[in-house]
Amino acid sequence: MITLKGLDFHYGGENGTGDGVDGIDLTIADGECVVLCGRSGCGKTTLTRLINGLIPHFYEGELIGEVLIDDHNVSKSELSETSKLVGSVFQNPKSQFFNIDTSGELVFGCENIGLPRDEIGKRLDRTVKDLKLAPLLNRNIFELSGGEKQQIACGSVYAADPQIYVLDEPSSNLDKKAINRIHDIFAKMKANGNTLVISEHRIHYLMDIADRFIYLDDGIITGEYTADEMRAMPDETLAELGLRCTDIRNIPANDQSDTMQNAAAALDVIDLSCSRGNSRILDIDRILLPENSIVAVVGDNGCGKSTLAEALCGLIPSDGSVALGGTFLSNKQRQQQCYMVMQDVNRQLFSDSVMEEVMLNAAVSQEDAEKTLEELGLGDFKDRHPASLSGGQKQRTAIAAALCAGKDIILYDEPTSGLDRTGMQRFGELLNSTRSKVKLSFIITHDPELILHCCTHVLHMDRGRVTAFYPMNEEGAQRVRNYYLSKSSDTTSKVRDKKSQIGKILEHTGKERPKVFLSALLMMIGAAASIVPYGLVGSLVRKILSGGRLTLDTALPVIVGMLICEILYAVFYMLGLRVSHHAAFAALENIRCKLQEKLEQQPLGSVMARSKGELKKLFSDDIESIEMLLAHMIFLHSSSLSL
Amino acid sequence: MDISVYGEDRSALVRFDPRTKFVIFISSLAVSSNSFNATAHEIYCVVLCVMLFLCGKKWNAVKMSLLLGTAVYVRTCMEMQATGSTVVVTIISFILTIFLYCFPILMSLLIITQTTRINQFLSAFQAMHIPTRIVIPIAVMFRFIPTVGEEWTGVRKAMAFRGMSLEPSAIIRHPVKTVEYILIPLLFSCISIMEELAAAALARGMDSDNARTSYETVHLRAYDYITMILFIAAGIWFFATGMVTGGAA
Repeated sequence: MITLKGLDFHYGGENGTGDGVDGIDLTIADGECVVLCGRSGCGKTTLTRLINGLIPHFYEGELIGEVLIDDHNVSKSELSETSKLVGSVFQNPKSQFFNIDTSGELVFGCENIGLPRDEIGKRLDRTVKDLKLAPLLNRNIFELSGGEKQQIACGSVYAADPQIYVLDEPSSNLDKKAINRIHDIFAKMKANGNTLVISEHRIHYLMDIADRFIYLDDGIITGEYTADEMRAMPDETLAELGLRCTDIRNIPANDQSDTMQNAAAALDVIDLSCSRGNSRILDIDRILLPENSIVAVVGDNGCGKSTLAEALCGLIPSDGSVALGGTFLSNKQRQQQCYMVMQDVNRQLFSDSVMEEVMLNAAVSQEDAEKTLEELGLGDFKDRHPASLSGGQKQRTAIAAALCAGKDIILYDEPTSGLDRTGMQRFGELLNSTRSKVKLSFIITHDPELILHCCTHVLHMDRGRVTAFYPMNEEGAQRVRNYYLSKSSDTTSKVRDKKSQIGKILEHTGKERPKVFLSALLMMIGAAASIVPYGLVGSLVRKILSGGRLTLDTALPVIVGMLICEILYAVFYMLGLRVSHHAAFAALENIRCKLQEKLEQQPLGSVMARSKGELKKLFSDDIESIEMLLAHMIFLHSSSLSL
Repeated sequence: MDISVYGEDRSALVRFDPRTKFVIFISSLAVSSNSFNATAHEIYCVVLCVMLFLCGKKWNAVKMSLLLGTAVYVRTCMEMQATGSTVVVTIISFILTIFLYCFPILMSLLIITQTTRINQFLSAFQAMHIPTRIVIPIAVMFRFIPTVGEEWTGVRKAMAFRGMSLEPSAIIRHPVKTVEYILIPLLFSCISIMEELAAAALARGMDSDNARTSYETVHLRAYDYITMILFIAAGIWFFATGMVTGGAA
């Protein structure tokens, strides 16, 4: 049981902002799930830090009162002692991992406790089974998506088996699939009888797990609601409290379609494709984004949204053409006309005062810059160092810099990930007010409320392809809601395929792979045999040059040698080609079988939507055309290279 | 070359202990600074390539040995024939000599980073009874390097939009400003990441006074001992001959 009695805390020390919590009296029973909610900066995170002991051991300040977990005084005991009772999961998936491989991370907590090896092994197996982490074992953490990282973080804490779990905005960077997964993980934790203390903005996925909702305002607990009361609360009350929606079905939508009639195309993308390593991560046929629109890009993590944004800006090399306002532009030119506000705000702040940051390399006057800062609520922070601002303020500074840069296209990568309702609405209003100044706003987001509030078009992506593009009218809003309510597939991110093109082709040849190497060898021998005649002729020429006489008798062995070599060359080439055709044929067979298996796994609708001729063409003509290439090109190349 | 600190030894033919790899590294240091005998040096380099092969990175081992062979061949050719423009020959032989001197260190570093997992390192350190106070900063360093890499990529992209070009001409013209533009966001974002990382690690009990156990098993087997003895002997031999030759010369 967690008891907070008469708790008063204000951040002090060097990072002191003076904020904190006042007069907290809270009791959380065993096995209960409590959700802390409220506006940004209300003290939710502070409360979680008080419970897991980071305050006062890591974050300094003035602490009055005490936090008791059963008999254990959190504020006075060592942090390592508290960590045995309380497991913590934080909001940023990137900065929670101490290890670089997932299996090592999962056992990290157990190792810290000092458990013996077999016990750790048992706990690891239990964690993998309970939380369904099997496809994520033994992977490089930097390759995982955000949701998978959060899963590993939860798994790492689960393996250490604490009584209480404290989670600080665990869903903040996650997509719909990942939110479903951590919802299942929390349900499992609760079923095991653990206590859960979650501080969250997005409370809609917790409605069936939470027992109590505790509302904080400016550091004071001002409300306590049960789950039913929360569900029954109408949207206006939620808006007053600054809370996000409790049910996706009830999100109000702003119909923007009437403003978008007869709009010219601002961005025209033709045949854009991007590969990383040897796998194609972006494959787009055609997109036409209209002028003065606000386009939301939606899709699971890892489907290529960020890649699309970066390719549009010209940051990463890509094939295909992108036209802005009718003219096709190269990468460099696109960089000059686009601006991207990234997810990691710290990477974009270059100067030592907010004013200078906004005016850096921008052709904007002082008054305009000040006006933009005022609109964003940053007028008082003009001369402060950007690093001293809070996260939300830093983000607004970056947006101000984007607006003052005077560029035509602004792209936003997850702008509202940690914002509360007011923050999200303010961002939406800002987008609307700048619609006329900016040709196109492109937002990558997982936030259904933002999409329904201010976007004019929605672009769906899946696995590097565009699956849908529609305007935000009545029907579009319903489509967005359905998307967020639908069940997600169970796929995980694949291990990055490090095989080269040749490796992939060799893989397709299957059992006939030795034949590939045999034919390459035969070709090389043949090629060698074709060179020897030249050497022989050269020897003859040298003999003539050095003054000797050339008769048929002396030249005969050379001529015979040349003939033999030419015959050998022809024979070996023929043999090699024959073997390589065998191998190519086997490869074709394997490719056809694989295609057939893949076809069987496709949803029925997509197969029926294709014409019969298209599939037939794919199976017979396209694959036949590979055969010639396979058989001849690779082996000719190997023989020529060896020459 | 994939400079990732995430090595793996799933495809290793022989599983060497991380401590053996450290011994190889230290003896390579001795060899590199005392390589007065070209043949012995080349033999040592070839042995290192074989070690990399055994440790699992077969293709890399082959590539590195081809590189070594080419470097030795070109240098020998240039030394045998005194033809060719002296400037070019001098520059190329300079580069090649430095490369050949650094080759043992490079190879032993590759062996360490590409074929060992960080947990194996940590457990090897703990088995050597090095106090946690030293082990943890080393682990943090390993963790920090890929983080800096990622942040640097992000900063570079952010700079592209602000009209701060990273072309050599721009860097030469405004060196201080470019460095400032690079360093400030890089430092701040790395600091904020590492602060969150520290909080997360502490909240999971990293600084406890109890001894840390380790899930990875790290054993010193017979071939580890043999390899260590061989490499230590080689290092001492090189050092001794270096002292003698260097002192005499």
